[in-house]
Amino acid sequence: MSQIAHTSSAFTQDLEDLNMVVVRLGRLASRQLNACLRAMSDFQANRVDMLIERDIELDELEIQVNEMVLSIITMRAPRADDLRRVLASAKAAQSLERIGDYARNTAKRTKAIMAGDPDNLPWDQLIEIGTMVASMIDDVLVAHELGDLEAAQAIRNSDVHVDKLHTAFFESVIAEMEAGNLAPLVGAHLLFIGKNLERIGDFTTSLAEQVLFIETGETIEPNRPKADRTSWMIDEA
Amino acid sequence: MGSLMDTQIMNIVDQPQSLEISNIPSETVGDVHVDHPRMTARNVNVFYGDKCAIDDVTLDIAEKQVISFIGPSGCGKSTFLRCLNRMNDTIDTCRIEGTIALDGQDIYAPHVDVVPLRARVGMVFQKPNPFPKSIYDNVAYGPRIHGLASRRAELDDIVENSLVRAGLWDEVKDRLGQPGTGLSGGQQQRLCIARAIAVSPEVILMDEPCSALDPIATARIEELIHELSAEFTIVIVTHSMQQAARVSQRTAYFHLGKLVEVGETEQIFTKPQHEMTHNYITGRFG
Repeated sequence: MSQIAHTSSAFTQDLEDLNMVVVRLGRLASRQLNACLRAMSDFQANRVDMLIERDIELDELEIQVNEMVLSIITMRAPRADDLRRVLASAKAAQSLERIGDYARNTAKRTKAIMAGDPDNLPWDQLIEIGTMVASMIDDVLVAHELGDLEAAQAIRNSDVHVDKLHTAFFESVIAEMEAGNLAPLVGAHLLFIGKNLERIGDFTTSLAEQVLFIETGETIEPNRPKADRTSWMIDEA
Repeated sequence: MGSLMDTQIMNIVDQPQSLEISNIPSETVGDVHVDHPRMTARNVNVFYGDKCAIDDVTLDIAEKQVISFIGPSGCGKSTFLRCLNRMNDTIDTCRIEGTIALDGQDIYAPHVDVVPLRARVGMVFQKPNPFPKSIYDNVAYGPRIHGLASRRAELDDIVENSLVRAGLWDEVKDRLGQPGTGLSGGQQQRLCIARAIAVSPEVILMDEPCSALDPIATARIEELIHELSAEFTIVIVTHSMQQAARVSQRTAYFHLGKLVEVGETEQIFTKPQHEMTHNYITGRFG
């Protein structure tokens, strides 16, 4: 609402510091996901190991955000959009840490598949979903920094495309398993990876909703477009 | 008293115009009207000599509710508060335009006697100011001069009842004959509240009633304000935004003599509509 700095410069600094840690957490979560996608494309297991090791940094940053949030609420008594920004930062940190968890789980399953025969698997479909959600994360971090409502709304709406890609991927893996072209264990790993990426998309839309909440003070109704049909699929044979 | 008033007037007149006057809305943001007003102010202007201290303020004060007036020093919130029981009458250079009504009756009408008016619209000041009399006589003073008790037993009942409602009875019931000035600051302020409610006012005005008190005494006064709001209409001027948020149902933000915004307290502190209100409540004073 206002570009005027707080009379207490320390308060302004606290909010800037908090924002910086949230964005750092976001950049790290994005980097983790991208590392995972590169591991899928070039079959390099060492990328996966590095990625798994770095997950603890996400955990530490989330703890740091929570401590800063407690401190600001206690010491500065923020109000209006300042308070929303502080509360939303805690929620955003939780979402970003979960994104990191899903990236790590995706990496572990990717490594497990690589230990067998990773050729002729639908990696391209997974990379397409992953690239889309990675792009959404980068966009939402920019929207968060700029307070860009239009961009946040667009990101929130774009998750429907992730849902569609995930549904198509799910159907194709099931079809390959039914045809006997895909071992059940590999198929299960692939399905979990697809679901992980779809969940990362969900957490990214939650981040977009936090941007809208900070800037408008309105809690977003849970009626965004959705197209993930996998939860209702049954064997019709 | 005179020097304090002079200082306050100079604060208003000499206030640095640090925030852009052009940003002040021509009309108050938010709904100035309520369903059941106890007091109404319409197009009120207050002048100290040539200087305008309150500029075209229109506001309803709701029955049995607490409304907080907030704003930077010199914004006019205390001046406006004092208009509500004609405390500004004591200042020679002060001139008031517009209408202020209590239960629909103009309190500035020529026939109105300010003594009974100030019984109906009582006041509690920033610094506790008990009379140099006993605790009993501090509370009994108003009922005596307004003839509210014909017998000693009746007066005793009023004193006890007022001290109970002010949350002070248990602490002073065994020493009612001792000087009111011997009480602690928080007790003195509750004694002043007991003194105000002893004459059964309709409205109680409080001008920064906790600014001289420690946090525990402040909490007790705030709890008392909450309890009293079931019976009385309360208007409180406070510099503590936390206090305004804790005790009031409505909040009015003043700046440079204008009523910038008024609304439900929760809305004012979570989603203020006007940028000046936002800047003030978030600590951006310009």
